[in-house]
Amino acid sequence: MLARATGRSPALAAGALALVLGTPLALATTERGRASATIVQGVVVTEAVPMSFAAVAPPPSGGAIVLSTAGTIRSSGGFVFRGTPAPGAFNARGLPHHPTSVSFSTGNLVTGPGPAMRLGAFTNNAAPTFDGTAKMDFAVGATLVINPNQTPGQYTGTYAVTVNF
Amino acid sequence: MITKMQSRSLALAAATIAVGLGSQQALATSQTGTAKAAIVAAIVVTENTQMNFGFVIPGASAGTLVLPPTGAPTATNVTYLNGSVAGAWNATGTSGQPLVVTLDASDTITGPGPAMTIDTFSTDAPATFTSGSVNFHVGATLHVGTAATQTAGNYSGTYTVTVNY
Repeated sequence: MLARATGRSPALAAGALALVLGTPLALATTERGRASATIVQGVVVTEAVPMSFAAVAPPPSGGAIVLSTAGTIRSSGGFVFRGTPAPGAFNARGLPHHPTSVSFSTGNLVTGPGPAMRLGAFTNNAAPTFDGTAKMDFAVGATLVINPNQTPGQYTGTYAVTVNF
Repeated sequence: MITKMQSRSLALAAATIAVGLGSQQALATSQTGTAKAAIVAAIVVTENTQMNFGFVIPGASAGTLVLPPTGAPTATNVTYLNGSVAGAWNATGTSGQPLVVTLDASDTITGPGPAMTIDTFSTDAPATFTSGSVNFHVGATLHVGTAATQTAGNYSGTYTVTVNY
């Protein structure tokens, strides 16, 4: 009767130890996660064609003229246009099929012999993604605000195009 | 006379039932202590978000992008564009128990160019299961080759997360 009792109690103790030691190993859980990165050899934007409104004869009251991405100019009455206007043309290179967007600087001025003129309200025909060869070419239009009695002469200015990756 | 005999047999029946209940309660008491050790909960680890270093432009010399468990990555000799996200994980276990996260020393991610090493894994996991379900993040350091060697494209690989008590 005594022998049976001691024989049984080591068996119970072993069972309890197996639980304590075995539990952390059995319950440790390992999972594989995924990690990735995309290497880009730079995003490059180059201007292929400068924007030009060509020759403009404004009425004394001035006004806004709008150059479209297709290269046409429209305005209110009284304006005379000569020459061949051109939308700005840009070539961007990024990553194949990657989404992209275009944004422009603000507060741009075109300067010359008379008061500076404001250039803004930019439009563009950029695709929403780079193509399969990582290219995205696009045209840029804008609105030029001509002041009343604007002094005749050559006016030039700059604007910044940002291709957002 | 008939009435007296009926009332005595009812009394005997009641006594028998009382003894039977009493002996069962006495036997049950001796077994109560052994149940405590058996209470355990298996840990389940789940990847909710894959780790991504985003878009990276290599520099003239080899560089790194350190992606912390939370917050913005830190670039050295590379240009980081956007798109990074730390690995997001969930572990379920027993509330109040220690939570030990073990991460790899180093892994590689492969793509169109030379394999890139990811190492110095880090986590924001708490030291204990603050509840039965704990969310945590895993970051790492990406080693990028030079612009001349690290071919553009997507690189991916795996890493392991082990959770233990």
